[in-house]
Parts: sequence; C-alpha cells; structure tokens
Amino acid sequence: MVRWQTFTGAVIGLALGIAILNLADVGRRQAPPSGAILSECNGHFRELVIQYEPSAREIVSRPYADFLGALGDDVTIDVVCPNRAAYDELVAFVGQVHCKLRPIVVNHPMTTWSRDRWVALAPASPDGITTLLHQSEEAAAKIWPARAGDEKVSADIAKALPSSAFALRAPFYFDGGDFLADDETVFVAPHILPRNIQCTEFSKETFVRDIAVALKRRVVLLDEAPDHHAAMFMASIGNKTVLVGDPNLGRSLLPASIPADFPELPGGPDFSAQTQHLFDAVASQCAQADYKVVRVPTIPAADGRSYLTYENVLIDRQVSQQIVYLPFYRGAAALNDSARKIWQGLGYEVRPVDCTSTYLHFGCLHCLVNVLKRS
Amino acid sequence: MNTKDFSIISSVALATATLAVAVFLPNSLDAGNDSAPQQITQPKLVSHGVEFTLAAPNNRTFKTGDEPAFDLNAVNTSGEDAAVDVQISMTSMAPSSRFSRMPAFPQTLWQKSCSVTLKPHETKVISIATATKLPANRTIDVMLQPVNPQDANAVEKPATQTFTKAGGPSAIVAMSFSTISPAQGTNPTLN
Repeated sequence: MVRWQTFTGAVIGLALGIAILNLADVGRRQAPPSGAILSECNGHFRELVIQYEPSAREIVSRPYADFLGALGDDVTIDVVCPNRAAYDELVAFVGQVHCKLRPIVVNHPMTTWSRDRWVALAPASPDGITTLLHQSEEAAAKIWPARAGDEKVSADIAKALPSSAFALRAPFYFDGGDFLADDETVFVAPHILPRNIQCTEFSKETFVRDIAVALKRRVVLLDEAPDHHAAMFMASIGNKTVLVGDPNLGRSLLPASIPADFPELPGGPDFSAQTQHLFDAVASQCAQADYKVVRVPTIPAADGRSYLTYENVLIDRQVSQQIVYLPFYRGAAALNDSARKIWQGLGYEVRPVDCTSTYLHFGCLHCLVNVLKRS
Repeated sequence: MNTKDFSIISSVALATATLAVAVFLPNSLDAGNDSAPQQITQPKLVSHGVEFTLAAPNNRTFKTGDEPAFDLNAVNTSGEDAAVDVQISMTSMAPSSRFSRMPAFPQTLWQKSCSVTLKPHETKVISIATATKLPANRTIDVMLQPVNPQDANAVEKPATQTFTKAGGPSAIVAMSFSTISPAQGTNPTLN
C-alpha cells in the first residue's frame, strides 16, 4: 500500500516537473508570422549573408572582392565563418568596402555556398522577423562533414541575430537554389522531385501544394529543365519577365576554334540537341505561364554541372535604379559583352563580378550570396 | 508531520520531478512548428494502375564488389488487364570535391526495362539480377520510372560524353545505399 508521504511527494514532484517544463517552453522561441518567399528582383538590398571557409579562398576571393566592393554603405553583410581568423582573412583580402561586414562565427565545418542553405520568408510586418526556411538534412551530409555543418547554418544565423531571423525547418527537402521567386511566382527546378516524391511526399500534386503553402506564392514546377539549380539556367527579373539561357546563342559567339585562354569546360561544351531542348523547354514553360522570355547566351559543359552562365546574378532594385551584379569570365570577352548588352538593354546598370574561379565548382555569384532582407 | 515524513516527501518529490523533466523535456524542445519531414518507408511507383515497389531479397544489404539483385513487386490495383513498361536504373555518385556547390553528376551503372502484364488485381514478384559489381566509395540510388520514349531524358547523349543522366522527373528513388565507409566519407576528393 502506498504511504501518504509517498503519494504527497509524487504529487508535489509532478507539479514541480510541470512547472519546469512550462518554463522551458516559454524560453523556446515561437515561429514569427511570415510572408512570402523573398523576391529575387524587387527591393533594395539591406542585409545579405555569405559563407566563407578559408580553404575555398582561391574560389571566392575575386567574386567576393568585386561584389562587396560595389555595394553601398546601407547594406550589411553577415559573414558566416568557421572561426574568427577566417573572418579576419576575408576582411583583409576584400580590402576597403563601403558595406558593413559583420561576423557570425559558428565553430563547425561548413562550405562556402550560402544560397542553398535556406530561403528567406519575408516578415509579416516591416519591422518583423525574417524566417529562414531550411531543410532538415543536406544531401550527402552523412559523408561530407562540411555539408553536415551547413545544416546548422540557419540556426546559427537565427541565434546570432535573434531580433531579425528565425530558423524554421521545412517539411520537404530542397536546396535554396531549387527555387527562383519574383513577386508573384516561384519557379521550381524539377531536379527537386526525386528527393521528395515517395520520400517526403506521396505525389507531385501534394508536393506542389505544400510548396505553395510554405512559400506563399504561385508555383510553376518546371517539367523539363537542365538538371541543375534554377538560377543556373534562368533569372527572374520582375514585370513578368524571365531570362533563360541559350546554348545555341552561346555557340554563335564562339570562334571556330576555341582560343587557349577560353575558360575551361570539363568534357568540352555541351551543344547537344538534348541539352538545347531542355533550355528551350524552360523558355516555353515560362511563356506558357504568361512570362515574357529573353534568351541569354550560356555555355554548359559536358559534365552537366559547370556552366558559363549570365543568369546566376543578383538584382538590387532601388527607387530609380536597377542594378545587376553580373558574372563575367576571363577569356570569354564576346560572351561577356553580349550578356552585358542584353542586361543593359533591359534597363539595368551592370556591375561586373569576376566568377572565373567559381563556375568550375558548379555554382556562381547567385549561389554564393543569400538575401536576408530587402527594403 | 515529523522530520522523517518530510524527508520521504522531499525525496519522492525530487525523484518524480527529475523523472518528469528527463522524459518530457527533449520532446518539449523539439516540438512546435519545427517539424521534421514525413518519411515514406516504402517508396511506390504508380503507373497505369500498377503499383511497383522494389526490395532486396531477404533484406540483403550490399557492399563494394557485390552484384545486387532486387525483387520488383508489381500489383495491379485495377479491375482490368494491365501491361506496363517500367525502367529500373542503378546510379552511383562519388563524393564531390569539398569545394563543390553540389554533388557531381550521377553515373548510370546499370539499367533495365521490364514489361509487366498483370490480370485484374494480380500481384507478381519479378527477380532481377544486375550482374554489375558495385564500385567502392559511392552512394547508390536505385530508381523506378515509367518508360516514356517521348521523355527527353530518355534520349541518349552523344557517345563523346562520359557523364550520364540520372532518372527524369517522373522517377522515384526506390532504394538508396552506400559503399562509402565512414572513414572515407570524412575526406571528400579534391578537384
């Protein structure tokens, strides 16, 4: 038989336990109200995020120096680094810049690619908190420590900037680069499907519905596209207009024999009919979604991953000025000039960023920089 | 209430509170809006009313040098005869350069197209041998997809290209496994 002392003690203990659990729950942050996925092409840059890992210095030092050096003093850059020494190294090689640099030291391995880690959901109110929607498991994280570290970056940012960011796990797997959003539509690369269908989602239809709910935008899931992240083959520029890469256009700008100083393309350029078809299919699906399509020269390599792309851009739109930070590649002058003229013809001030050291690693400028806040 | 009673009550209260916090606190911290994705344990391809699933015979696990075999389970859920072509592909992916933005393109190790005919509500299990040795230090996906000659992804790339394409958007990953040892996985290759 239970003695009265034991019973009383158990009741008091339970009450104490519940009180402690309630206190812990109060301490846990609740998800703030959020709006839609941040547009790639509307609003002025206010706060950007880059990741810097010293072993990748050769790859990112030129694009970071060019890009950060061209930003104004009203932009803050959160630099996610494995340690303070890495941040100091970046500050040293970037040199004098007008934008404000702010370190977020994470003390764990990471890659240098910020874009794929999360997508920003705009705050529900102007002074609200940005939600960093991230996936629960990075592809290859089990065998790649830096990728496992990347999984924590959203939470690291939210912890460092509690008044401006909140990290929220998505109910599906994605890389940030799988999505390309404007103020109305989010284009989704089909590349995302095999990771989710019959894994986290029962069908394509439920998946599209869940993406639309999570990102609060109309979803255009591309049925056919190059097997890459969306911004490698297209750019969304607002006013229901997209730029889509065109290998044929790229080919027309190449001399009969490729010069020795032309950027390296692993396996050579891929001008196959199948690859051209996939780029054309993107253009045609965007047109079917009532978008005006402008084609831009692009040269994909036969490895299927390395692209000389002029769609992998960052767009900063201010009241009377629209700026594009446009990759260029040393040794590809004709391509660079053609792309620059296309962007200028669309009314953009072009600020060139040297990505010669970057594209061979399957990404470019847009892939290196994520946007936390626009005005 | 004497000192002994007070001592018993305090001890029991402390033990109960500790137990309650230890059991429920981790759940409390994980709960809320931040939910993990659901995981579908048995991926299923549905094509023309036929459900296809894939399994390793006798739950066999595969390692470097093995020649995997699979059981393709086909269930006709409709009340009509069914004839469906399904493609099974086994792709491998090497660890990427540690500087890469994304993993390298997967290479197709083996693929086969199966024509399956089923009576209404009939179930068939088809044994499939790949006769392909698994390479070391790779992650392996086995995919199912409907055979569609119109699918641009089904068109072969020129022979000059050494990289092959993984399954198209209609493919599902039916099985995944790895021949990478944890020690190898900590050192991705360099470009």
